Amino acid sequence: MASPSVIRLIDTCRLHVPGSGDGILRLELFNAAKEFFRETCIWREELNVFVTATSYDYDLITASRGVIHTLMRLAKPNPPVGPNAVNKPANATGGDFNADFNSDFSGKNSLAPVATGYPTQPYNTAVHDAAPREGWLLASGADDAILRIKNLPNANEVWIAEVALTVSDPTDGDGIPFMPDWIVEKYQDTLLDGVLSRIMIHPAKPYSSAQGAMLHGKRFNMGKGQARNDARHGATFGVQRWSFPQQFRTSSQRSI
Amino acid sequence: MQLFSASDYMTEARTLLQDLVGPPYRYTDDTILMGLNGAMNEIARLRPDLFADMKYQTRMNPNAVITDNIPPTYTTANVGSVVPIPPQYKQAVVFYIAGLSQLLDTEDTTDVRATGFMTLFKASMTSLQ
Repeated sequence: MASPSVIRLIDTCRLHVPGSGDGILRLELFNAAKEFFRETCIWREELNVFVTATSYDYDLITASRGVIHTLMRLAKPNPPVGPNAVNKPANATGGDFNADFNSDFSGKNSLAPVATGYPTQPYNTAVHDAAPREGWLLASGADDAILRIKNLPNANEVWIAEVALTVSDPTDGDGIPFMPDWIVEKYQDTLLDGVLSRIMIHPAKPYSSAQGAMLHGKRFNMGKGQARNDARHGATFGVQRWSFPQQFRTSSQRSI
Repeated sequence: MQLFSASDYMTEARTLLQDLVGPPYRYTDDTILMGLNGAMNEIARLRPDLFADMKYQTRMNPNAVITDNIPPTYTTANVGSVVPIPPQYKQAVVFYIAGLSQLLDTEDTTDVRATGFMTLFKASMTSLQ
């Protein structure tokens, strides 16, 4: 069942392009959302990677009903810092690390998605204090992306892979792709512009409008830029406002 | 979304053609259905999106095959079949059926009326008139 924000989005689209079918609106919503998420990397998820000393490749499985398209970061989190966390293993549960590892890993060379219930909070809070690891994605965009790591660890470890997702089939029963509701809510205007720019470029339809497509296309691109910025800066205002000192400029209006 | 059957289209076209007394009708079922099939072909050319509309209002079958989504030819044997045209374009299809029927008929009417129906069909399909 579609969320209220998606219903509002579709209703608004219908007002802008009279004569278009609902199915085509949903098709173009899928296409616009795919482009939006692919280019902004705003839909992210942190996955636990149960790395062994013997395998370079790992299935990345997400429980979010999207597909993984980009590996944003790969790291081995350090143990959480705090009086109760001293000498605890990386999973920070206080239990036996190897027992936890083996029970979740089960020798399948696969990753446990967050939905398995493996404690992720300690990792998430520690991820910025983590040691980076190198790896890359094979078959990104497939249902099961494969993570290939560059160097094998000496022993079993749990790493964190932060990945960016985009929409994919299957959709819900109404033909609407699964996507985080907070993103639809926050970037409703941008997604609306994306759908409208795509649908208005259809030739010889009652709703065809090259000018409208161009206008909404520009707005869509601006919205994607804003979303990309939000994703990069964690949706904070005023970050990275520092500019290079003017006396060190290498060009000016006079000396281009 | 409500869809209509081929027989619904036949009834409405007969209303427009003022051919409600029968059977036998002045315009046979075959003639009317020829108009309906012609309309499907024209829509496939002008508005292929209309045939794909229903497909994307539900979850796509993972075993779906590539198809142009054009419905099979309507005959007197399958007049109960659904015509996969959104209701907002039903009237345009009726215009086409009436127009083609009157084009075939040289006794009852003039070509101006037939051409008018055809123009209405195309205008409804491609513009906001």
